[in-house]
Amino acid sequence: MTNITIRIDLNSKKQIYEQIANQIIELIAKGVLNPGDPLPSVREMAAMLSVNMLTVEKAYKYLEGEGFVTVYKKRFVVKTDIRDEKWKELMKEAVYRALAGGAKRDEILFFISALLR
Amino acid sequence: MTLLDIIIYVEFTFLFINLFLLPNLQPPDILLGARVTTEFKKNKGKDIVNKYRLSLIGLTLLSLLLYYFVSFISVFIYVILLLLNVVYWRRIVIRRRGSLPVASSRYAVIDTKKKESRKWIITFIVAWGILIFTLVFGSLVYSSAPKLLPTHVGPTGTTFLVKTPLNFYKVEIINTVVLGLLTVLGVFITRTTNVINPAYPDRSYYAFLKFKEEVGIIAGIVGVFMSSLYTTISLFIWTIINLSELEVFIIFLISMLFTVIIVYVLRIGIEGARYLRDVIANDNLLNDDKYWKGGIIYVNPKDPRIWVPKRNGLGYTLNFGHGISILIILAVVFAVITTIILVR
Repeated sequence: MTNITIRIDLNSKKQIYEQIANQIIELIAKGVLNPGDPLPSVREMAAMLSVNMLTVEKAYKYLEGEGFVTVYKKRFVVKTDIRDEKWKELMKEAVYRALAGGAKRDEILFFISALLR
Repeated sequence: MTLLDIIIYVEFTFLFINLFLLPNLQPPDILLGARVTTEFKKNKGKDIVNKYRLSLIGLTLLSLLLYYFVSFISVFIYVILLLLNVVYWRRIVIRRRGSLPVASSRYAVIDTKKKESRKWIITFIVAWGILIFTLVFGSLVYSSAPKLLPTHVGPTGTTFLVKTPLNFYKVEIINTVVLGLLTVLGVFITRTTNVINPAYPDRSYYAFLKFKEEVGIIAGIVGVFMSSLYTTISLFIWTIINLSELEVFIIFLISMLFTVIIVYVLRIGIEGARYLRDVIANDNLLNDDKYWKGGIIYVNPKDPRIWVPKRNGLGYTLNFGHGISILIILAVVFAVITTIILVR
């Protein structure tokens, strides 16, 4: 049995759709969600999280726009060829933020290598 | 020992076992009908459960003595005492449980290997198969059936009806409607979306999947027996079998149906501790202690559900905050009163 749990925090400042999308990206990155794996239907996901269907729809559309998932047979599935170039920009932002916040070069490198492990 | 004695002792035992095992039958986040944290239940909660059980044993011994020496009225006192016992220990739990975590997280389970179980469809295929087979068989024997069909057997004798296609297939038409309704019910149940309990997300997810499947299967099994029953009656109307054979068939089918239902209900009841009851959302919106009066009566106008799983004991209870449940109670009271008046 594969059980992958998504958790959203209602008190978080982050929008709920962002939380859902980011966690799905994380699951893809960790190899828990493989290419071709279907995501729960919008209705099902909304019922499980007790949130509006539009919120889930927004998260899925966002993921589709970013090129992580695609629609196959009326269902959202994880894309087989994910090409995301946006990470460089995001990484640049993050690294500058870290440096501005006074983080050491080694600290940043160590953090990134820990994520990649 | 009279029959009444035996009945009352059985009742005593049943109630005792039920209430003795009550803390074991409750989900990990409920103790004697009050919301608690799982840690509380594992540590301090155990003391409370032991005291609750001791008081239960004490009350039972007292009631048995009263029953033996005073009168059988003590049975009612016993039942009331047991209820008050649960209510009392629930209050103790609420007083000692400390602060509860505010539920700010919600969960969803992504099941990539999800295989929608199709077992329940097989039972429905069998049920519809029996119906279609009977219809085909009926069309073959239509010409050889007598002109007057026996339709009703009562104390005044058998009633006959003239053979027309409508009269000939009357029972099968009813069968189609009943089976259709059951199929709609089965589809409706297996299509409902999953409920997730934030206290243990993945367990409750699989519990609900399993529950839906079981209910689908039992609806199908009822369908198979209904079809067989209607087929037997049709065979009698078409004079393929005679009255004594019909009686044997009907008794056989009804007893089989009851056996299967009892076995299934027991199964769902026993597994209920694991499956059915695990899906209660530990949610302060829908399932807060304040909506449970004494842990027994549920009043929550915000909850759209009419039937909710009981907190103490197996089975379901009405949501009295819902207008329809008041109607249900009124209907039952009305039915009882009219029956009493009519019988008199």
